[in-house]
Amino acid sequence: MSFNKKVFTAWLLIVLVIGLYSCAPSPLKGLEKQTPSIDVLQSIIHFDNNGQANYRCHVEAFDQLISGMMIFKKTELNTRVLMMTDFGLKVLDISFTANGQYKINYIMKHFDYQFVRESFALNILMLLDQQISINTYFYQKFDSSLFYHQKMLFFQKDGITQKVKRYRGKKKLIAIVKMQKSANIDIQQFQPPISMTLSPIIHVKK
Amino acid sequence: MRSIFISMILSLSSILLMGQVVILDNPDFWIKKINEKTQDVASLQADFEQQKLLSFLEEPVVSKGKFWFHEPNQIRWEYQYPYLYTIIMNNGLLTVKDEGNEHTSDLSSNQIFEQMNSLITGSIQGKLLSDDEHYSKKYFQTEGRILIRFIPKDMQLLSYLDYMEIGFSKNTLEVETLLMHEPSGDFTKMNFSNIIMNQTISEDVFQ
Repeated sequence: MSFNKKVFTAWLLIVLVIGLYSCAPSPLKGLEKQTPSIDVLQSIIHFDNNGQANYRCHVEAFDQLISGMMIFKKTELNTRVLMMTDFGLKVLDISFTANGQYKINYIMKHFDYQFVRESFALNILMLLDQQISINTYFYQKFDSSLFYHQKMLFFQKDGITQKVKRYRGKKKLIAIVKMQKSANIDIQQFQPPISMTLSPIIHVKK
Repeated sequence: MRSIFISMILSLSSILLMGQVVILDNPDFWIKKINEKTQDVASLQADFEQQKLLSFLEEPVVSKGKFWFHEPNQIRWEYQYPYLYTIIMNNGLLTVKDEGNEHTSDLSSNQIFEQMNSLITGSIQGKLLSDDEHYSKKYFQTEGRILIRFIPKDMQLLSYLDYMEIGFSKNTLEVETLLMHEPSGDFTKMNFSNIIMNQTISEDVFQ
């Protein structure tokens, strides 16, 4: 009985250790967790003084090529993101709250499927402010900072986010965002494949 | 409350943009005149200004450029402001030129462009006026324009455009405005100016 109890305790410990280890974000294995020195991971988007940002936008998804404009507008409560074609037809309209929740206000019927809605929303979420919380993991690697938050891994250098990876579960890489030197933003989702390129429009107002 | 206020502002902006709008009493007379004019349109070039009014933005989003059309279905949209960008629709092919990159695809594989293409060519050539299969129509006028509102019968088109409105000049009978109104109340308005009709356009324009 005593032997069984020892075996059981050992087994329980092993299960616990394995369980805890597997709960750690897979991409961050071997790194030491540190305390974040910031409250908010700043958005990749360059907002103007009115809290607005306008980008040229190209999307390739489901054999459709859409080009147009993506408009980001910050308010006190949320960030509204709207995408429209060059002809002005609205494709997508999403509101994001500070805690990473989103609400689809509109999506064009061609794209109105749950996984498409989620793909667009979560990919755009990677570009916006992220509130540091107890669920945010922070690591330092050489001269880069790494944040793991809401299944997204942010790579920062000199306080600027240069790359974001989005995972499903702990391992499956779903999408990646890369900042280009030209301030262009490339978003690549692998499955289902969606490609988005955003280029800032400097002189959008007359 | 805020959304009601914004809707009121949008409606007011819409009215201000379009002038005083009243029901057209004698649509048959004007349709006949417009048909006579548009059936002779072999080519058209114009400047355009596109305004997009969105409920959550204080100011419209403005784009400008040049437009070319040649029958039966060659179109070139050249956006010059706020960015350089060209869309060419030519004999079933869609070519997009953007920052030195060029992308050509089959127009039929891009439903949105294809639908826009048929709407625009149909409105220039007046074909929409006789298209009772796909649209029901309402007729209005302002001091200087005849406004024909096309309400789609196709449910898919209706889901993103509750109506389109084409404004013809009473003087020249040319298409001067194209309004695309969304169910949310947001809308896009295109104003055409410096319209030149039936002048030879180089084939290079559509390449």
